[in-house]
Amino acid sequence: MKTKPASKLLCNEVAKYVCENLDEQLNSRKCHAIKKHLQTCSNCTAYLNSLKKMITLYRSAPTSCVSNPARKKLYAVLKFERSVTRQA
Amino acid sequence: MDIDQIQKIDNEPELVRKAQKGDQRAFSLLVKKYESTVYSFAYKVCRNEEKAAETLQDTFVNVYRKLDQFNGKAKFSTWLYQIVTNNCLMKKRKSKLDKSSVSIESPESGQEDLELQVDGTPLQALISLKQTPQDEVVNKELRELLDKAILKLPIEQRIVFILRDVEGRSSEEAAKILKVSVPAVKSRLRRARVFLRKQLQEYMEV
Repeated sequence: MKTKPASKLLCNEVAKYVCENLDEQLNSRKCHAIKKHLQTCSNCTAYLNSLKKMITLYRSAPTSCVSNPARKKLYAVLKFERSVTRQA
Repeated sequence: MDIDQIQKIDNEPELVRKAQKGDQRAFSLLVKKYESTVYSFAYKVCRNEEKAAETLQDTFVNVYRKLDQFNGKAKFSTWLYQIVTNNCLMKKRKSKLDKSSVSIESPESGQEDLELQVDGTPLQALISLKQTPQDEVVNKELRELLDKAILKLPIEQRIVFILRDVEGRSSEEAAKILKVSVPAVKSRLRRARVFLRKQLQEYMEV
């Protein structure tokens, strides 16, 4: 049996909504409707969780720190900039 | 003054005012306070240490030159993010590396919808990333995949994703930084999230 069109539409709406509003502090009527839908729709809940997981992965990915040479170069460039400003 | 003391400077507006009046020590303190923030953001956007270091320099030179234009209505950090973001955008446009972004499917509305309609159980499987001990190599590969995926995103979407989801800025602040509307931020964020999530599918257990 095919999925009901109304259900499809709501799942689509949920997908769009959670993608736009995940991590927002929302209290609208639509937000409540989405939360209610998520309580009963395992498909959409899994989708939401996969988004959260993806974001967590990006947040925990290692980043890079300013190296000493880069910092020294920055300070030298700014020192030069100051000297140029003073002369002007 | 060490980094902890710098981070504790609670009267930042006063520090900015002093720097605007030509107090070099105040300006140096602002640089020290924000150099890691600027570099880290630039690195997350371009995933390249050399480019991040260049962006760091360009950003603070711009801050030095334009400091008198900062009117104090927004937070100093918001203004700083505007500058670093502009520098990232300019660097990207100059480098003409957007070729890879052009061919990328931009997840317009409907793409994620189709996925929800056709996927039954696979969506459930998405939440269980491989996490067994021997998967250290897989995790490294996954990180590389994350880097590659984010670099495939159009720069405007990439910046929104980093501001919102990695740096934890609000949609309103991201909109101020990028000088676009909040709906525009949300739209870019949605596309970025859908695209990046899809890129991870091969690492999910089915």
